[in-house]
Parts: sequence; C-alpha cells; structure tokens
Amino acid sequence: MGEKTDEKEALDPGFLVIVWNDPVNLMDYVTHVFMKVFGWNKTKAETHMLEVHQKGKSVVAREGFEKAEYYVHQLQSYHLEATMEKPA
Amino acid sequence: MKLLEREGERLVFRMSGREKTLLERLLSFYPLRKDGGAHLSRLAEPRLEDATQLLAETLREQKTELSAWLSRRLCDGGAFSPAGTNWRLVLDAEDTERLLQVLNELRVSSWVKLGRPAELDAEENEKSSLSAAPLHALMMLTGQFEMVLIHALHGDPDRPPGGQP
Repeated sequence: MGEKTDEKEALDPGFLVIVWNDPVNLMDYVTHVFMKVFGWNKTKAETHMLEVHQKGKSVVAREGFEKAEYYVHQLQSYHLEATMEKPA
Repeated sequence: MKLLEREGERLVFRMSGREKTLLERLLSFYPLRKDGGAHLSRLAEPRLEDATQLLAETLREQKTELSAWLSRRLCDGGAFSPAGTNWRLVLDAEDTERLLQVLNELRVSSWVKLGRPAELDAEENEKSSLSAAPLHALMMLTGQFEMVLIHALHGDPDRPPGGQP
C-alpha cells in the first residue's frame, strides 16, 4: 500500500496549498479561518497560524488540482493570501 | 458591544445606539474593492489562467451575495431588535461567518489601498497623511469588531465578553 501511494505521488505530486504571511490579517482570525475551512481543532489551527506568522508561510494541504483549488477559493473568500503551487 | 448569550454558534449581543451606528457606517463601505486581484499561484502558470479567472468570478459573485445579505440582514435591521435604549444583535453561525468575511474585506482592502504598509501600529499611523486617516480608521475599527466576534465564538480567557470594540 505504501509503495502504491509512493507511485501515485511520483506520477502526480499534486499541489501544495500555501498560506502566506501578511501584517493585516489578525492571528486569531487566521486561526478561526483554518478551523472553519479545514475543520481542524484549535491547537492544529494555531500551529499553522504561528508557522505562517513566524516563517512567512505554511503548507496547509497537499491535494489534487480540484481540491487544492477549492481550498484556495475558500481561504481567499476570507481574504487570506493563499495559493496553490506545484511541489519543488 | 457585549455578548449576552452564546448557544452553540448562535450569538446574541447587546449594542449601544452609537455602536450600532458605527458598525452600520463601517459596513456601508462594503465592498471597498470590487476586484480583489485574485491569483491562484505565485508562479506564472499558463495552465492556471482559466482557473484564475474562475476564482476572480467566484470572488466577485461572493461580494454580490454578501452585499445582498448585508442589506437584508444588517442594514435593514433584520438582525437587530430594540432592547430598551440599546439594541440586540442576533447572529446565527452563517451570519457570523458572513460578517467576518465582510469586515475582513474592509480591513484587508483598506490596507491594500494604503499601499500594504508593513507596520500597522499607531506610531506609524501618525506619520500617514490626513487623507489616509479614514482608511486607517476603517482598518482598525473593522479589526476590533472582528476580534469581538471571534472571542465570542471561541472565548478568550484574558478578556471576558463585553469588551468595547
């Protein structure tokens, strides 16, 4: 099963959904949006929020095109700076 | 603006007449930007062009829907009811999410129109021109209302409900 997953990822590595830091979105707001969009608990949402704040960005999902696009739509509807990028 | 009740994600606030007027004035600026410069990727990927257009259309439609919701629920008073000399504001879960999206569009768009300053603090604000003052005020006040809503939803041990926006 692990090998099959590796093969699938090698064929289609999907997209990384990335949330980028900015000085205007409030930290508690970003945490709230992560909880809403991804259904995460507060601890996980805060971990990613802090990663955005401290490291400039956080990879919040790795998905196929449609799901990644859906997440970017959701995050941008809350006015977070979110993009989908091919893994390096 | 004081949280009176929280039942699940249904929130009931008490607001003074001044707070209600301030909130309504802030919301009257929505949307501050008709187009938000939507982009799916930081890299120029030609194959994402169609999807980027779709994102821009989706965000425009969202603004139209939120404007209609604002008129129906908040500006025409549907969510407000008088309570003595004050007002009650009742928001269900969907209302709260929509109000957060509206407030944050105003906050982020103010920041964009100000030239995306790296510093938002008061000292930096004092250096700004008089013409930028309304945008600074809009950015700061919408942020205060956002925090009241988020603390009402999730609680804040350092700040009991009822803090002034």
